[in-house]
Amino acid sequence: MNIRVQYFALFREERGCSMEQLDTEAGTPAELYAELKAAHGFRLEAEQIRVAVGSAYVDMSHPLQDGDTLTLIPPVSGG
Amino acid sequence: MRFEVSQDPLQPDRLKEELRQHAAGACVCFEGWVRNVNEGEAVDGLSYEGFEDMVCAEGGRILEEAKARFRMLDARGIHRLGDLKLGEMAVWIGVSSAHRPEAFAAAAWILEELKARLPIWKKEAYIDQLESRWVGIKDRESSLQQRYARQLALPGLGEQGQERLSRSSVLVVGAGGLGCPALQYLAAAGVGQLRIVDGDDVSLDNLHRQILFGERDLGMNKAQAARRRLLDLNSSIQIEAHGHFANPDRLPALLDGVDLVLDGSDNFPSRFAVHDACWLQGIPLLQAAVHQWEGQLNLFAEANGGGCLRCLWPQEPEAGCVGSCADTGILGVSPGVVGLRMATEALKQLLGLPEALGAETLWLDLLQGDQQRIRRSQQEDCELCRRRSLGQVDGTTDLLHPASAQLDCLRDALWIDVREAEERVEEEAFLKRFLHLPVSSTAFDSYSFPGERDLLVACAAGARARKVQAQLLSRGLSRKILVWAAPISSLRAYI
Repeated sequence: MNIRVQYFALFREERGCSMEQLDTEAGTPAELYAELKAAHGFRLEAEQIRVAVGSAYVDMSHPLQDGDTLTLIPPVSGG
Repeated sequence: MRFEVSQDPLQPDRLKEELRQHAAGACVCFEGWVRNVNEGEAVDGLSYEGFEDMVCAEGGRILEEAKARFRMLDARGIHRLGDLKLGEMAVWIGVSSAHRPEAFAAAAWILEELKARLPIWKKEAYIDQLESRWVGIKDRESSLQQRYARQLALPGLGEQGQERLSRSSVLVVGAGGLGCPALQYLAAAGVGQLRIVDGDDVSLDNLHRQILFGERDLGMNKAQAARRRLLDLNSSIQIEAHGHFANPDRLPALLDGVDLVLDGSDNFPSRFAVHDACWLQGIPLLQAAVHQWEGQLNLFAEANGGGCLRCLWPQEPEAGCVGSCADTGILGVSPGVVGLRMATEALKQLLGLPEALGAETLWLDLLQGDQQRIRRSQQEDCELCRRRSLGQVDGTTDLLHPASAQLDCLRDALWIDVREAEERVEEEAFLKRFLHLPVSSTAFDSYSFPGERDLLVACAAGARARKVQAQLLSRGLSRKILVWAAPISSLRAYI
């Protein structure tokens, strides 16, 4: 399944890019995040982040579909 | 605090001596003299006429108002009446304060008010004619017309919109990278009351992004420094500076009477505390944050149906989990742009424009020049939303509130709607449940309520209801006075 992953804020900084296309077997954002965290050493735990599919926030258990855009959103507090 | 008039040449030294006190570290005195030219015409003297009692009373009021607006200690003023020669002193004012900025600012403000409001007429003895006048109140109104002329001309704003802005009260939490630009434009646009809270002092590494401040402000409290600069920008509005952090115990006073809160603070504890208090009291909150080249903006308001911050983040993130501006780096323009978006959304919200930010997070990527909107939704299991729907409010506030245990007493109470007539847009069946006593036209300190039931006071968000409650409590009535600390519409569930 092909998923486009978009990185916001801290994730962009940690990943070094704002967007990438992935082939994955992960069926949910939780599974995909576990893969990405293992691969790139993201410091935030899954419970500390929010995700969006398309243009809406979704649960970590939301079923992913081929062609989805998943956005990883960390907390942000800079002022 | 005293204002005098004199028919004799002014000798203000004794007034200046009266200003002396140990707490005063600064005294600013101003003398206005008769000069030889006015608007291009040669003058060789003038005479002032006025009703002495009225001049003293109005002058005294202006000094009292100055004391309420500025952190000054004391003030005196005196105005000359009668015939004056060139070089004679026409007016003198003196202000004492702990520090010099307040004394300068208060003196400047007092002088402008005196010129605009004192019932004194000036006849200038022009060399070739005899005609002139003292600047009157009408000129002040026309200067406001001129100040806002360009925005008054904007479709959707106009005089009504300007009036709405001038009656609005906004709390800005954090006069930092986001707060500075937002404050500048809110002050410039004529938002009538700005309350600024920030416990930090201006430091050199702030100046690249917090451009409200200059080098002379280094070491000064940010809220105070912001207030000084903003009054220079627009002295016709009221600005309060609170030089401490927005801790939970301070929030009830900070939120009192505000229509909208802008939060650009730089830490999660402050953001969540401010948010929770706003949400429980039904005060709309615009919250923004930045990270390097990115920024996000949310409007948490019941009206947009997108739920609250806790619907999105039930638990407050750990401090330091994502780094601060100091750790991750930031260019000044990022909070600058996001702060201006805050100001834009704030003005839209205050003006009641339908295009105000909805149930979505606005995400800006300034490096790519992109923006995205991510839809939010209210979560059924949100604990804060549940508490709000029950009208429960934190014990840290001084509200009497209808908690779940008091629901019977809530149902039995006499419900009072203190909103203005034009705000009552709900269905007739709902409105009939209330005694309508608009806050603008009811004297709550003497109103005689029918029956003996407890009173439940409600308004659009809870702020006005709380003011009415305070007035009623001061009467020592024998019944309970409850405030509905949430939008009035949420009372539907209890009909």
